[in-house]
Amino acid sequence: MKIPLFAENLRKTYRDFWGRPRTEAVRGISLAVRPGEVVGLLGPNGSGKSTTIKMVLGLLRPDGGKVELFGLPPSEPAARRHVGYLPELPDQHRFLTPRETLAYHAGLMGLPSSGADARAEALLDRVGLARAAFDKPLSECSKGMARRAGLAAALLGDPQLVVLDEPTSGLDPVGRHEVKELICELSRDGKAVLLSSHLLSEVQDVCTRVAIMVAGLVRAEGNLSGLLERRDAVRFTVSGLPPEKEADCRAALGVASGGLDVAVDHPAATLEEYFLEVLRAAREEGGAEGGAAAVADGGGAR
Amino acid sequence: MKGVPRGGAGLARAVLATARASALEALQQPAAILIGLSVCSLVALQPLLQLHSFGESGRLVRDCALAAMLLGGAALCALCSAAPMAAALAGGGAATALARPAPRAVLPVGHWLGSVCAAALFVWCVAWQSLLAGRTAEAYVQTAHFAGDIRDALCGAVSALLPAFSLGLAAWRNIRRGTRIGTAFFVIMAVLAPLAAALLGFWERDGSWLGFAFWDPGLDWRIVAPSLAIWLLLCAFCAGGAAFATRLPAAAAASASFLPFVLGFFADGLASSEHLAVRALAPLLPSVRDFWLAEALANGGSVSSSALPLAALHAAAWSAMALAVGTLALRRRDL
Repeated sequence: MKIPLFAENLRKTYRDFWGRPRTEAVRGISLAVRPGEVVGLLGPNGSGKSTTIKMVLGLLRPDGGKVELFGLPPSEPAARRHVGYLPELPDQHRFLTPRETLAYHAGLMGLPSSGADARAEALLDRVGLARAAFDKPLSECSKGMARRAGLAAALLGDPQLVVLDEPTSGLDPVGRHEVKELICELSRDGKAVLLSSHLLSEVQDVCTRVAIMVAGLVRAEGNLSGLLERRDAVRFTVSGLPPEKEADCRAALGVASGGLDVAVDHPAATLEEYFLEVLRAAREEGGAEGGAAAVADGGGAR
Repeated sequence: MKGVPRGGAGLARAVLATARASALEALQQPAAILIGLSVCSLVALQPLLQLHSFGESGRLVRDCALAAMLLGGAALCALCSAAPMAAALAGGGAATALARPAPRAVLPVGHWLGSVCAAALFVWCVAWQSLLAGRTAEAYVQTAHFAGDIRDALCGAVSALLPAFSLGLAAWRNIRRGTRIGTAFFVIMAVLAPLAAALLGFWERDGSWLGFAFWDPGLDWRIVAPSLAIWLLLCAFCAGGAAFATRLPAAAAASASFLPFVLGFFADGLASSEHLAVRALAPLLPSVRDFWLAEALANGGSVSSSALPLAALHAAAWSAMALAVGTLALRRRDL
């Protein structure tokens, strides 16, 4: 099977009405999401996460680079057949109910209307939407309910690649937990998941890999365990050690532990600490005051 | 990998799903309810308020009703169709839809189809109100006991109350069952107006009971053809609105929708110009004269058999051109 998402050296510059470059949103990003992987896209506001996601889905035309969904360019509808997308602010038809929203998306996917009700109910149940909200217009639903309906729509048609932009935004802690469980479940089912979020703990809980974007560039990328491991320090973990022996142990580096199991590993920083460190380093290099990089020349920023 | 069906049937489903959502969205807008209610009420009240007949019974009422249908329909299409589509493109709703395996053309075409359906419901309601208003209008009646001009007060009262009653019923259904008030209003109105016209056929214009054996609706069916022509013009108008909405923000798209419509008033002048280049511009505009068939009904006349097919052809050509331009514009747009 072709890799669900492959992007290479993607570039995007936003221009003003006269075509002058204003913001270099993405400056050469490469990304791949394989089946069973949950890849987290992290970065401050304006770092190019949403732009990247939109280019991946064919909603924005990249200025350079290459994107493939299942081996096809995303501008081709066939490439998006197995993709589910939950945008950050799903400005859906607010007069439709969650059930009708799913029917609408099913229609867009060309799915037959037979069995649509059962399919919609199963998905809405799966994302934990209360049954009473199934037939309530989205305009009357809470933000969390609308989010769940959007998530259900993203999962319509059993997509092999699920792109989630801030999936837990507006959800309560229980809802967040359920969505995290759902993402893990998708991963276990072999689906590829690309997740963009500001909630670092959420990303840490569900992602197998992360890419940290700052000013349109991926500043750090890799497996979470690898990224969070500190190679410049060594940690000794001793199980069941009495407090009075702690000093001895420290002094003798485990020899004085009295024969107890001594585990030595690398202490891990939290994802949040690491994220801030990457961000600070990027800022020290210059050109990244906010999330976005300003265009140096070209008469754009006026 | 489990496949999602595509091809002609899949594409048709995508267009219909977009059309259905767009029609519901258009009819549910507060502006749509307001326009529907005011135009239907205005048409019904005309024969009760107008004191002139301009030498022909019901002509002023008929012309005013058709004019209200045209202007109200144009406002409905601009405010409730072009503007929401532009808002969806700006707000991300369109991005959600187009992240699906549907070509970009689905959006303007589906939106246009939805607007056309909403416009059809509006024209249907106003046309029935116009038929009832035509019956209400002062007309010369000669019976065994009476000869003179009379208004059909019963018909006038029924048609004047219909819009308010429909809105009340829609509101009641909304409170009790959560039914969408806008859609319910138009649907109730669309059902009740012909029903009222049929029932009123059992009464004479002077209010006397005709009996079940003497049913005569007394409606001037000639108004149907001009109403259809207006709907065809609204179809072209919606296509223009959908095309503008692919590039302009909501308010600008709604305003720009009127541009081809206004230019259409000059199409005749352009067509008769001496300059070939100017004459060539004329067919590119939806000439309002081709769609305004009310004049043909003056003095007992009727619409010629070729007028409606010509109007349909013109509307189809204009709509196809506008939608093609809109689709091309959307293909290059970043969402």
